[in-house]
Amino acid sequence: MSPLAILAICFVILTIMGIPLFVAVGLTTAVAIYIIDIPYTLMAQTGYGSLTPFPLLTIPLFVLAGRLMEVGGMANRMIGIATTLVGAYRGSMGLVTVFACMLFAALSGSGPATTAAIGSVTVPAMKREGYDIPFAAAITASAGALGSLIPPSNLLIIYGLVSETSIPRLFLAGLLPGLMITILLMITTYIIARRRGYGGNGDPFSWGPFLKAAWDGKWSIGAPILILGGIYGGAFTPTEAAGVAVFYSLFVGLFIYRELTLKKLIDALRFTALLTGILILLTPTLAFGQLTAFYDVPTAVQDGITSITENKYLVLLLIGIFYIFIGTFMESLAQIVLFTAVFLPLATSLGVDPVMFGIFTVITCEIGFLTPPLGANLTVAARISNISIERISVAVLPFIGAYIVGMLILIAFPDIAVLLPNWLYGPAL
Amino acid sequence: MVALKWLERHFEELICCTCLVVIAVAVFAQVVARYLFQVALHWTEETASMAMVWAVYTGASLCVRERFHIRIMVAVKSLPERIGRPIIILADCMWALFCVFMIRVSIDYLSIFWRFPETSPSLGINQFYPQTILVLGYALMLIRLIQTYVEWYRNGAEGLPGTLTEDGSDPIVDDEAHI
Repeated sequence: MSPLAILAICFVILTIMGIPLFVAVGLTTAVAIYIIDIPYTLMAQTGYGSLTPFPLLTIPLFVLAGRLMEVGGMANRMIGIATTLVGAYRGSMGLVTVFACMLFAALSGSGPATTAAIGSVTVPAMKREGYDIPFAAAITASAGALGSLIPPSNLLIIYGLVSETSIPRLFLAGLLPGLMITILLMITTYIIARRRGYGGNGDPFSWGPFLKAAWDGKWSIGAPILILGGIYGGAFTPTEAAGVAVFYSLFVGLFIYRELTLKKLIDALRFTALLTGILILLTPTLAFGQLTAFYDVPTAVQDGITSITENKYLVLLLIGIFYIFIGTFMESLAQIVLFTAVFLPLATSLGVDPVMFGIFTVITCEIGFLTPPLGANLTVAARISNISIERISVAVLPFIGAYIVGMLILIAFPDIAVLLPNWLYGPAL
Repeated sequence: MVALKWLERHFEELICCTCLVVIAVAVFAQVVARYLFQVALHWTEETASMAMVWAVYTGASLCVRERFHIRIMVAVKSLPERIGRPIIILADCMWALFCVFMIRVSIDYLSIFWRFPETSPSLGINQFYPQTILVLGYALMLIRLIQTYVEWYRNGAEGLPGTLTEDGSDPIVDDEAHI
């Protein structure tokens, strides 16, 4: 048996046993080092060095900023704006939810956080309008996943770090696919709501209330303008933008909306602390990455898959199916950290743009948010709406369909992702 | 005594949250200094990076206590408890073993820095000190892991040890807490 096969079996067994992933990768790496007989201190060295890159700081900062915006009152303003825009149509509250999630996604980098921020207001509102509760929860869960696609996005930052792709490029690339999926979700919501005859009793769109809501929410709209405008205007790097976002949300929450208290602030820090802790997964993974001279996993995978097909679209489709399958029981963070290094070289060798591959990966992760047994958005939606995950996971199927359609469109027309970044920065090298 | 008890409960949180504040302030200071005072600060990146490593390791120890590390529990949970429990105990033993292994390896690694001191490029401090977090972090994780088992045993040794929820504490675990 080849050493690579031994390591693969080792990793799979350790993972299935329920060992935390970073330990499973760490033990596998230790075995790998034992086989080629080099000093184990490599693991201590990457244990420190792999966490020092400056762009990595972006993640805790965006998590903290997103949390402060959520508890500091920005979510409500976003819902106000969405209501005046799309409140009048059939299935209006559903459409409002999708739209508000899209807006909040431009503040937050996390899908489950977006679901919680918007859903805790709109799910009760949908209940009042007589919506079927699993349907309402499913809308929220699926639209909340937009938080990971529309910039800023924590998953895209992780992808950018492990694949060494430019984070500003990735952010810009997420914009059009994000809008595309928003539209697909709104169409799905509209069709279902129309068939079931859910109300549309809001006032038709008119400029007056919209401008008023937009003015009321000016500090909330200001956040994405500051963050994204700052990055693309060249004023600061994504990491600095995240730092600015923290202090901006702190300022707005404390002095403008006055909804932020010291207790909420400390809770937001503790919340961020937990998410920072799971980043430890990066250390053994990157230690293993240092051993590529001996264990070339990408080439092995490449040989395996290209022996089946060399068609770019089919290969992406196969990777997509694999990612969706893995995503049903694995956290998105782990999925990206573990598998990007494996599949990206294969994709680029077939002429796929790494930026497009990042967007593609994140869309599959979003489907993972919506599939049991481990679907973060389903868990959040279940808590908000007080029903079981099983009931939501049936109601969410049409929306997963919408995401899959979005994924297929992206595979067929990769320009949707790379158009904007190539236009602003010139074609990637 | 009360203070000690508080510290036992919140030690990692205290360090981790402090480091997060340091990161935020350092990064923001860099922007403010550049645009308001037209100076480039040299200490910010290094300080923030060191704080990040400390935040990750203390956060990882916090995740042990809060049962927050990413692990695939589908297989184990689908088994009957009398088979699932020994497997999870074995898994946690290997986790503890890994911590011991990492402490050992980190001590070897740090001893090199102790013998041949190296100063950091912009702050000029001995690289030995920030890197002690490797030993400290895995030691904390090991202690928290053992603590989990002691509490599990005291509470009657029911269910799966790694997935219990403690009573009488204020867990921060939150279902929104996903990247």
